Amino acid sequence: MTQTIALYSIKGGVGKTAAAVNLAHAAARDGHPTLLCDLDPQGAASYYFRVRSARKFGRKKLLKGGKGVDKHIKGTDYEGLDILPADFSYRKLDVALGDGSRKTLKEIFRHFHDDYEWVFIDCPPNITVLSENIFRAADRIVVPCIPTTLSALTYTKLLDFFAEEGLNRDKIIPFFSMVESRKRMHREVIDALSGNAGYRFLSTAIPYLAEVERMGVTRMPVAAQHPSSRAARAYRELWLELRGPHRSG
Amino acid sequence: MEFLVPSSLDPDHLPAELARCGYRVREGRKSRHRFRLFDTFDWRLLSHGLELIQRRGRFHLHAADDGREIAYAPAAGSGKRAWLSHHFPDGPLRDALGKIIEIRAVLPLVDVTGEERTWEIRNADDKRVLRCRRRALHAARVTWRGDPHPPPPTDLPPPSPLHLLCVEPVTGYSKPVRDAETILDDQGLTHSTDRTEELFRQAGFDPAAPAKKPVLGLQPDWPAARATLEILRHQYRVARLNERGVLADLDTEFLHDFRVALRRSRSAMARIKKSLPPAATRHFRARLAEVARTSNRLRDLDVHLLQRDAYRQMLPPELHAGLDTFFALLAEERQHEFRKVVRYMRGADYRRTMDEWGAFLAVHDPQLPEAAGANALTPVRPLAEKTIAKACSRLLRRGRTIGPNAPDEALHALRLDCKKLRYLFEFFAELFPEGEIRPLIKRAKRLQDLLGEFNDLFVQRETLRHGLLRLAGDGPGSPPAEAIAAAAAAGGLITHLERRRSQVRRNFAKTFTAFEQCRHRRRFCPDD
Repeated sequence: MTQTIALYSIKGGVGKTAAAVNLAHAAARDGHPTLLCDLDPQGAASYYFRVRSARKFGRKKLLKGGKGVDKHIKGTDYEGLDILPADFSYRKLDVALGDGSRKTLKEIFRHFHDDYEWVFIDCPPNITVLSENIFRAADRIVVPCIPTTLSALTYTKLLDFFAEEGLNRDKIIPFFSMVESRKRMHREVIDALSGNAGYRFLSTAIPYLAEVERMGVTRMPVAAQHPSSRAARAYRELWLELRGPHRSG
Repeated sequence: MEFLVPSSLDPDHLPAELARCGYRVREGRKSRHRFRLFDTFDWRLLSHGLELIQRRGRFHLHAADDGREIAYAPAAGSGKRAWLSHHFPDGPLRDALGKIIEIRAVLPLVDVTGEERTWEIRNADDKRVLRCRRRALHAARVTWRGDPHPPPPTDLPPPSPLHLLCVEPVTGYSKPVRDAETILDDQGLTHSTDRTEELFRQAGFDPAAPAKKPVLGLQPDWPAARATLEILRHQYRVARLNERGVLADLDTEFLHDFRVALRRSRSAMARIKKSLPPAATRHFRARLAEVARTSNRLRDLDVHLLQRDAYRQMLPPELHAGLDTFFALLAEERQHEFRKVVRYMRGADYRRTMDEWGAFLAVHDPQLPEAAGANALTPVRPLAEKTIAKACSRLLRRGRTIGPNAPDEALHALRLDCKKLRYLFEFFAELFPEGEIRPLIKRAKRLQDLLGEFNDLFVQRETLRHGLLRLAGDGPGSPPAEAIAAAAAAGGLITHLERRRSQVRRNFAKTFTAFEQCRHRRRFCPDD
């Protein structure tokens, strides 16, 4: 059964795209056919894989779904990992989805189930009709959180939103991102939040590392650059935890 | 996409040309390959566009044209030997393979070693958009005890390596592929799909030789004797081709095909009347019948043992243990029969028969008056028509008299008539328009299959009864015949009752619902 994982955060700059890219890479390295859907109009994930979308592709094609989308999937430099690159026209996906006359993302993503075992979605930040659509389409919503008080507040807001909209809160899986263990506040927030069973934080945290920032220069997943680096190991841990012990895909 | 390229083509040609088109080209590390190719004796995988290889302790099943992997499985024990489908571990490989090879064994045929160079072709963003591989493959025939293929000719020139150029597209990037194709087009290279076949050829095999549907080149105006000789020569080749496999006991089809070739030969000599000298025909028919007779029992046991799984499914689980005992006895008898057949086929008698027959077929000249049969020089087509008409009218005459109460023997006789007719159709198929003869062969085969099944069931039942008698034996420890008969009767009843029980079980739901839905029931016990 195909697993659809959305990488989501209300705030930008929390390591969301880095997580999407490195988790998708780790899944593919594990031998699972994997697709990364870059829905963020900034296209950072596509940039990391050195992929551009075709001139003919955009919001309208995406929302039609089916074979028209397949044609625009591109192979990355890594075995078993494909990407559906972002397009700048995605900035208006919200408006397009809002009129309710089109296919939902859930329907569009179902089409990928034949070819891929894992589908990762790199979502644009903020809460909109689009994010709601993604929440319904994804099996799990993985949320990177920088361990600060403000982040904790944003995370609570997300939980409230799920409660209000009648969405399944169990889908949300947060993890700590860009952790700087020398900062006292980070340590305190982690202690406080990971002790709260209701928040269900993953036990793997991604530290703040220069290698991750350098992905913008190397334009490749950290494990492709240095498979044994600290960052590569951290994302691999995160992937293994997400995959779970008995999941074969 | 794979291309067979001449060794003269500079390996760097394609990468260099692509670089000139503006791509960034980066050569990867060189690597070496080693794998072993398998196929059945009758090239089933190759003819289905598949390639089975063993590499680093694993079997991989590939599509032969684009090398796409279909399934893989661990290869426990890498000894050189024949693999039947049940030797493979349960899983996708066995499922995919089993459908194609059925009861045939796959045999280790060719060891391939090779060097590979790869190039990554990147665009201006330094994104990989294509990969090229250049491979030089050396093929060497696997030598192993029990290899059923004829030994390679000794004067074979040392094989030169096979040069392959492979262009691997990246999803979503079609232009670089088109560019590569244009470059290769200019070199006059076209896409190849017969790499596997080429490797077999390099190792000295001839995978194109189809044993089942031969092309003998019969012409309607040939003298009958010439046509008959061609037909017999082909059957002789098939028989000899299967000898090694029979002796090595790789799968049961070798013996089957061997016996069919003998039977066809006898049938051709008997049906195509007076085209060869009657004395020789009589002699060889008798000799070949003798050869076939020695393996009659072995073939019956083979048929029986192949039914093992089907039998298990017929029986309720509590009788499986008994069935296993029974099959162990059959397997033991088969070993005995097999050794008998091997002794016979290694013996002087058999060798003399085959050599004489082969020599006769090779040198017989129907033009010599003293050697000829009465029909030797008549054109073959009218003779074929007459012979077919005769066999056909006999089949029709006999078939029409068979009503529901006809004795079993009548059906057995009809099976033989049908087989004879079908063989005639097949011998002479080339003399008639394809559209007329093929449908007839197909129908005749279906009729023969039905009659054959009837016969098989009869033979199997007889073998079972025979086995029961053997269980009784006459030694002091063996159970009395009455006890065996009682056990057999009980077993029959247990099976029948089990089948009936599961039938009744299946009927429960329907009957219960009928009661539940009955509107009169609601009068007493209304739904909540």
